Amino acid sequence: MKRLLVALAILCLAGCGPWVKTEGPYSADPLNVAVDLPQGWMRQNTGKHILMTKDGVLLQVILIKRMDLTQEKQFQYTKKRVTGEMLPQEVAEVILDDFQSDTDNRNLQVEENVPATIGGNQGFKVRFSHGTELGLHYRKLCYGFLKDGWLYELLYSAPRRHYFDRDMDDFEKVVRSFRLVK
Amino acid sequence: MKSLLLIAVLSAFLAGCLSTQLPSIKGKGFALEEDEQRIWAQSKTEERKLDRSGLIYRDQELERYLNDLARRLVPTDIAATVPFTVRVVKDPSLNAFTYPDGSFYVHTGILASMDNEAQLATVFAHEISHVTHRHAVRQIRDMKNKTAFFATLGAMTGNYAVPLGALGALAAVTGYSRDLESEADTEGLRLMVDAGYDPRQAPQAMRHLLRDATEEERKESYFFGSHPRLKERLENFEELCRTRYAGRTGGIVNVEGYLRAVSPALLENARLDLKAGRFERARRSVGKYLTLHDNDAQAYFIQGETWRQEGGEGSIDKARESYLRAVSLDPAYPDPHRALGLTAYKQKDREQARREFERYLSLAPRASDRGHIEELLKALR
Repeated sequence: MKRLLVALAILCLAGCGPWVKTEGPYSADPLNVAVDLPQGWMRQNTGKHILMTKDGVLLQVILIKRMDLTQEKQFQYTKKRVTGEMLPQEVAEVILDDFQSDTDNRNLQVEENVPATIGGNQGFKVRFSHGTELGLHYRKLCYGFLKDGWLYELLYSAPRRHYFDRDMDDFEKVVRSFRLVK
Repeated sequence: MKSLLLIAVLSAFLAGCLSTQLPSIKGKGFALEEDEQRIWAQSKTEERKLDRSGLIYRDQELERYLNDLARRLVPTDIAATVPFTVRVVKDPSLNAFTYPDGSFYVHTGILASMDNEAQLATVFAHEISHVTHRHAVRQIRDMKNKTAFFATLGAMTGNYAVPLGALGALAAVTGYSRDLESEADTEGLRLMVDAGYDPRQAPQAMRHLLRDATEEERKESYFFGSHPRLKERLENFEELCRTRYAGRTGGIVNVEGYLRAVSPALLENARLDLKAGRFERARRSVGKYLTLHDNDAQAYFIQGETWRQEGGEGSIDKARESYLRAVSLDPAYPDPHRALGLTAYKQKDREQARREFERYLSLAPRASDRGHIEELLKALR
């Protein structure tokens, strides 16, 4: 959990971009993504990812990011690599393995791992829950796909109780609106 | 003027100084110091937290074996004072640590990396020596004393005369820790030999740690702290074997008993290493496991996964060989069929891919990735 807090703090501070209220269509050209942002959330765009929350990053967070598949270190906890030839479920498994290789994340349970289309691209949708070092229980929903040497990910994370269900529709709307700029 | 200042500083420092020269724990009549009692109480709190964390690998037989091993190493008079207990942590990194009250945690990674009981005894004896020689309280006192010294010196000289500053103090503390680690090595080896183990296995245990540090591209290993460097420590062990224990040949090694006891943890550790993408290490664990359980389908499946996921020349053939062995041992085991389907799909062997995927879904109708497999089957029809 400490690492999660530090990671979130770094995410929040990285680039020191301002938090702004979200609403309506939004295009992040450096990320090559465009989405409709939900009403009443705060957004931060660092140039490397878009981070959104409504009540604070520990209560719910939407993260949109992409990763260059040629970069030397792809993941923080696993040495596995995602390659352009992988099937969507293989990519999903690497993401789950990275998450599970962080010992701060406990008792990971994959609840759903199915094909999904994101902005017209064939990918995956994985829902999983896990505990933290402090005994908190989180649920996460992750969409992802490979395109032109990049891995695109849309992640929603919230405490399993109350918050996950409450704000999931906002995330699903973001996913449905997702498109690549070019 | 300089010497007057130095005397003043030393006097101020020594007035509040706690001794780091404590006798080692003995049997009857031993009493904890006041600050040591607090450290032990804090240890209990942390242990309870760790025990509830979900990180503990629960296997009664393995715990019994490890506790018996610890008991053989702990001198009888001390065992009555400090109740050593061993637990296993599900973690593939090579680490082991002991709380000052004798609660000892060993990672599955250590169990998987050692070849025999004598090598594990090297790790255990080192950790036991940290406890019997009260290294926790000695190190904490040393750190406190150094902090007090530099604070006093800083206050009297307006700070600019502090010779080392915070980083220097830290380096000094790290240096002291090096002494404690060396002491634990020497004492540990003595305990190991007294318990009848072959001392020549101690350098071999260090070589495993060094190999891990090299493979992981770490400058130093977790285990044994950060100082002295593993190479130095290996040399220390080799030197002790050449000198103090030159005449000691033979002794307990126990390869088979060790592997038999730790084998369930080997497979668990292989799974963790596989997830972490440490394929070679995962294969080593599986290899050890298979020396005793040559008919285990799960082990062959994990072995196959290490080849398939690592990729590279010839890896698919090796993966297929392992999967087929797993299927022949347990035809109702779904996972190798899925893996065989994926390899066939990628090699454009449509017929075999379809057959294997269908078999997988028939064996695991509620598989979490059913949707993905059905999508592939659609493409194959």
